[in-house]
Amino acid sequence: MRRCRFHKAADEEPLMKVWSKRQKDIVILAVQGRLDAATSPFFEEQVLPMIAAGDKNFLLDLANLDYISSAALRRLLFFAKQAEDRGGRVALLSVQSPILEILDMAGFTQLFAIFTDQEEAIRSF
Amino acid sequence: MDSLIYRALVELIQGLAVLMVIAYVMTRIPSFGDLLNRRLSLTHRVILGLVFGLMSIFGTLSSVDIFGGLANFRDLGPAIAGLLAGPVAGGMAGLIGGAHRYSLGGLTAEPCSVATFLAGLIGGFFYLCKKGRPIRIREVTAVMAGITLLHVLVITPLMLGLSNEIRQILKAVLLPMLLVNCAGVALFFFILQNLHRERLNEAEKHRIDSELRIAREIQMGMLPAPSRTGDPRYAVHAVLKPAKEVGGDLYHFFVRDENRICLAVGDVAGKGISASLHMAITQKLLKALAQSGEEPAGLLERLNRELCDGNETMTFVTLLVAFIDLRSGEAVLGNGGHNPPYWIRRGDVSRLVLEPGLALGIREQAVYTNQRLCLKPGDTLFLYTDGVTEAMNAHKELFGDDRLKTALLRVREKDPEAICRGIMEDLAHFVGQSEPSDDITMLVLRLESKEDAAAGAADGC
Repeated sequence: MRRCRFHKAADEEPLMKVWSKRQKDIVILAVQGRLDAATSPFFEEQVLPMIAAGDKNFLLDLANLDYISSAALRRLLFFAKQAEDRGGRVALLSVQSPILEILDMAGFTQLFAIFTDQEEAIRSF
Repeated sequence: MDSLIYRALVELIQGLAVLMVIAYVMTRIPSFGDLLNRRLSLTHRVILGLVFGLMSIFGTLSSVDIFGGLANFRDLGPAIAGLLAGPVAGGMAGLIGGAHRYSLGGLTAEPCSVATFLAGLIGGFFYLCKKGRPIRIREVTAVMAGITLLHVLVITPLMLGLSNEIRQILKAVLLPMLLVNCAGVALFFFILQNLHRERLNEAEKHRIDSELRIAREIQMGMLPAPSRTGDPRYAVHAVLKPAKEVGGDLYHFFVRDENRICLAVGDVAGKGISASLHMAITQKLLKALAQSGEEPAGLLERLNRELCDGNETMTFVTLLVAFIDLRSGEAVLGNGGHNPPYWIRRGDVSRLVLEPGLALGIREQAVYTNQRLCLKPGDTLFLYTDGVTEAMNAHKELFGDDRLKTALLRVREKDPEAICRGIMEDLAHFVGQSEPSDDITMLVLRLESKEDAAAGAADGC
């Protein structure tokens, strides 16, 4: 399991962390913390190379995501579009209610399949 | 003897402080740019020659006695003048410093004054060799070391006839001089280059600032006037405050015909320059399409198709459009992924429940629905962007819907302008000294109650 941390300052808690692991041909990305204009470029830096390397199915585990800004949503869409262009897709897992509210308000719940159970999510690919 | 050399070194370095002051002053004079671009006039070269000639005299006067040998940085001034402005300035400074040294007389008067003059010429020769390429601190320091060693070479013939003791003294003088001269040149050019770079950065920042200011004026100029007066049946007021110079929020207000008005509030994902470009496109398209008379859902669909075209970066826009019929009070709303507005009626504040609809610019086939609402005289609609609810304070707390609702309850009886002002005050109080995290937009409409309105206002739909 690979792990990444993005620090704002040495003494602060990392603002965002991403863990990635693989199950069959699906990459499961667990995102923790805040996804905003400051942290989402790092998220992109981490995931776009995976697409370039041939991965196309992603399951984003958002159980520990505290906040997502519109700038981060744009990058998430861009990421999903890249995956879809290669015949894959991005699904979401364990989206917490504040995040779900944001996704719902922008109509994004019609763009992403959202799951509460990991096994079910994996089977859907 | 070692401690004596050490003390001499400290004293000499103290003398260098004057040189640093000269370096600082030089960077503050207007023709400083010319100095580093080698575009100096002859007058400037002569002035530099004079200044560094005096510096050379200062170097002689602040000599430090080491067993009768005088350690000094007399060569430093002429060398710098040469390195900086060529052989004319260097030679002149060397001549001044050398002449002064010669006038003092003594055993080494002749070779020392000649060496000082040579220091200026060598510096100038290096200047000519550089032919305008950037000066490196390493290079000028090496040149200075060479000059100091040359100085020693020049007085060596004299030393041959001297006693061993005096030779020892001269050797003791050499090390502090070498160190001080090299440190002096390195520090001088270091300060010069640093301040020069800082000045360029400032100029660049100033240029960007002024371009952003113009961009801001253009952007603000695209928005309709914040207040509309003249029709007694309603009052409308808008506030748009970008987090940076330019932003991605937008609002639109226009009168479709004598009985119908249109309101819209939108938010481009992200902020700053990239968002502002999309804001400008959206604002113009909205303005053009809104005149077609199509109802909000159709308007959003057409706008969405336009915004999807070539949107490689997936920059999306959330947009809420409301058409209001002033005769019946009927409001038709279309929502492209935007925060639903608040509705104020007789002291009650509630958030409208709207079907979300997909934000614009993502999927060409997206469809939107018209959602109807019946407004009564005295009702207020509060449209806003998430910059209001997501304003963040120092503890990283968001303003949120609860605080917004409380704030709206406080100002519910007021007119649109006072509502905007009241909410802005609450936001400012909440955010405190924190940097604004997002653009803030509010658009408030109130249908005037019958007593206020001269003409017949809305009477139900």
